[in-house]
Amino acid sequence: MEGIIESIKKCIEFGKIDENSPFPPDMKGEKGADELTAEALENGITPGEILNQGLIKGMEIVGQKFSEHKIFVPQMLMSAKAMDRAMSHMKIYFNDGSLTRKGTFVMGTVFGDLHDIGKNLVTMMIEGNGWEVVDLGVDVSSETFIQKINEHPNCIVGLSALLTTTMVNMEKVVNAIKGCSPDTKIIIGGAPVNEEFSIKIGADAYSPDPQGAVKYLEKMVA
Amino acid sequence: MCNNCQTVLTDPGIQIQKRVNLDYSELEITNQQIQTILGFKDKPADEPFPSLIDECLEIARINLQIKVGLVEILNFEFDSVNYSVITHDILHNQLEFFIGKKIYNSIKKSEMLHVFVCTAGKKICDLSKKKAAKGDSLRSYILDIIGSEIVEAAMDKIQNESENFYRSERYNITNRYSPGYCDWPVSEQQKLFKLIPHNFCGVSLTTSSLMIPAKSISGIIGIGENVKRKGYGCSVCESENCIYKRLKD
Repeated sequence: MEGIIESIKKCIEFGKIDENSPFPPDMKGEKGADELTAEALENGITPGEILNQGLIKGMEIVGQKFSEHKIFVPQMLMSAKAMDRAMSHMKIYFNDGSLTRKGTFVMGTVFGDLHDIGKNLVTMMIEGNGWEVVDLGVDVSSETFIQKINEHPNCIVGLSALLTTTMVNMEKVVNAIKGCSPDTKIIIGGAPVNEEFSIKIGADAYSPDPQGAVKYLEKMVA
Repeated sequence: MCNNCQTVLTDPGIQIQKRVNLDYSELEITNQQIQTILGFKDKPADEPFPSLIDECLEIARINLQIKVGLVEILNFEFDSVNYSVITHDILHNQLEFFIGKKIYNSIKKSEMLHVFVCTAGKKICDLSKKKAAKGDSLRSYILDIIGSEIVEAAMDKIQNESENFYRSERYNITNRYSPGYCDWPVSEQQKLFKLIPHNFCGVSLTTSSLMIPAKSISGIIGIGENVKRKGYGCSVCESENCIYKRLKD
């Protein structure tokens, strides 16, 4: 059992999607996350073990390597794709309740800002770490954030902005959310923001990279 | 202004010149260059990345709509107290740009300013978004990076042509500077766009100073006998989060 779980973890870490995928070159022709996840389930390994010991552990390594600049966005996207393919086999278990998510993360780029690459990387990593992600997209108003918080009362919220002209809108969103839902935790990120700004606008946390956001969320449910 | 530019409109103090078409073949964008921006600067990327980059470069080649526009500003003055440049024209009377100390020192000896706008066009931005919507995040990301690289390469080309033109008249040019560089606030983009015609080169500005299409740049270049173009623009900037600065480091 340990062997196949380790192999699944390796597929996620190195972005090996399926047998036909030529990437990474040194795993060419080998089974990928797709086949191995299906095989593990057929062999009676529980979805929980596959998810927690294989998929999530693999994604944690990806996040760590990215934080340390050992891999770059393209490799991270390959890992996310491998994760996505493996998760297609797990959906049924989330639907029947055999698997549960760690929580819900509502994420969006604040109003006035249309940048989405950073946001997308964060949502991929958080989803890959076992969370349900509600991605609100870009140019998201305070009202939309509040509406989604009402639908997911225990969610944690992520705000993204890439410009100095739009980071100021984060404060408006934070104020609106805290006004309606003071206990909702908010984490912010994006090129122009930092820890000091996060404190100034009343957000609960700041992360410079996706892995930092994952760690904060893990801390919240520990 | 430059050999390939066409004068479109002239009025007192401001002269608008515009070069409409710039072909992809005139730019030298290589697979290796995109690999470097993607992070693979120490060793070549493994497959499928080089093939994907080639594929996306071909998509870009077919779908690019590169447009570059330049506006000559002749009537202006510098304010050494506020580190600003004040332009004068009939429509706006005067506009003051708070460009910050570093940019101010680089352009303060300019005798003429160029306001520029350059875009890779709407198509490449739309294609990148479409790929993302279909779950193809990798191609979407590569197209996004190529779009950014192309718009900079296009402006490099125009700037080099401009430099050669002015050199023959014993003038020099400065680096190009955009709102958001150094201490020049992004919000000043609003004032910059007042100096160019509405929808110049098909580029518009949102209230939060985002340019649409996204793969567009704008800014100023100084021209004069006693100004200098420095080797690398990032050397004077202190941004820690800029992808280009990280690559340079």
